[in-house]
Amino acid sequence: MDRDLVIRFRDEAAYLNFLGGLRPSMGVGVADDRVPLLSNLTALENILLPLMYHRNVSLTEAETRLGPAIEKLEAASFLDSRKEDLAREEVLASYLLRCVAADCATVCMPSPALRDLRRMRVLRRKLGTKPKLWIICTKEEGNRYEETGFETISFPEQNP
Amino acid sequence: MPLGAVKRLGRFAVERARAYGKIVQIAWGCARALASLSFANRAVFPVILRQFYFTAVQALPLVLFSALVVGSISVHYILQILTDLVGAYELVGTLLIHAVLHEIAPILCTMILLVRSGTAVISEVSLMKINRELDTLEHLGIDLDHYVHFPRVAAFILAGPSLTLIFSVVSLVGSFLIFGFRYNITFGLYLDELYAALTLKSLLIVVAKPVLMSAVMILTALQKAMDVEAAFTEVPVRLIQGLIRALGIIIVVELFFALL
Repeated sequence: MDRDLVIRFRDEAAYLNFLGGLRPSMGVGVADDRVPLLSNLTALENILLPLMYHRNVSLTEAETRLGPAIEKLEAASFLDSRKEDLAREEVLASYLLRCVAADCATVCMPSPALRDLRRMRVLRRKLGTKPKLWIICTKEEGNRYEETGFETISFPEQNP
Repeated sequence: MPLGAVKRLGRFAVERARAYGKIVQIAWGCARALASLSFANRAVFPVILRQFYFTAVQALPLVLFSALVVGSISVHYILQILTDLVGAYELVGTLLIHAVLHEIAPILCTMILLVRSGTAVISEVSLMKINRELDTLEHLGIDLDHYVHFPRVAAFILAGPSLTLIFSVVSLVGSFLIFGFRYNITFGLYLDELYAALTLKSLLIVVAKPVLMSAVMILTALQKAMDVEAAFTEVPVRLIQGLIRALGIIIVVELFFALL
């Protein structure tokens, strides 16, 4: 899927099932509080955790690899903070960077608040590399995201 | 036997079997993590170090203080009985090694670990579960056995015997330096007696006992923490249950070694 999408699900069960099945190893990361940052790690450690674990690289090496993305998002100022001390925009930036660190081509936001969605689009623009954005929601929530102009597809009536 | 009692007994047996099954599952997961050299992973190794620091290094002041206090009292009484009352100098080493190395040091250090770090692990992991942080790890494809269970089990298994050995040395040597002047035995003779009484079996016990006690304690703590479903109110309940069950298993281990 090489474009931004709004994916609507007929019911809550199908929506949760789809969300639960998403994995960075499939190229799709989740940027949402359902997949929160770990509270005993700093923002930087949270962001780099998938890279360090799967590639077996040190924190310094992982930071060097992700350096350009961190710089573009101007994230250096909050990297040493714990999640409790982060502003909402910083939390979203951390989610986005974590997806980038996990090599995700797509960032999925389940039923995001419109304000979060706008912030995420700004962050993505700053990042430049433009990972695809999927908004997943239930049928009832679908109209909320019309303003995004993303293509809308429905599950299970129609396959993407 | 009334039907209600049978039902309760059955439920109790099933719950216990499930709990011990989960403990075995966690232990097996940790063994697999060890076999796959997960400790060499650069994301996992700092967690092991951090856990060891919290579990062993930060417990040192308390262990040293307890070793001096409890050791002094024990050594004081044993020396008093053996030197003043009985005059049996040749039993000083054997009795002190038995009392301190085999019994007091492993049990007291395990208790310190249980109260200090066992409770912390139950709270930390259950809160991680309630706050969906374990879901995050699963989502990122990070094995919970590698990242959550194994570092804590490894830290406890390393901390148990390390603290016991430190406790034993400080207790035996420090307590003589505090109270030894009161008895008709020189420091050199005291050390000679201890050295003569020290056997390979004593050294094995001082390592094996705390290893086993620490292992069952941390596995029980992890099982209880993973039992939490979604409510914060479950945490204190699991904490108390975990402490009591760990205490019970420690007593069983103690009995096992007593029968050896």
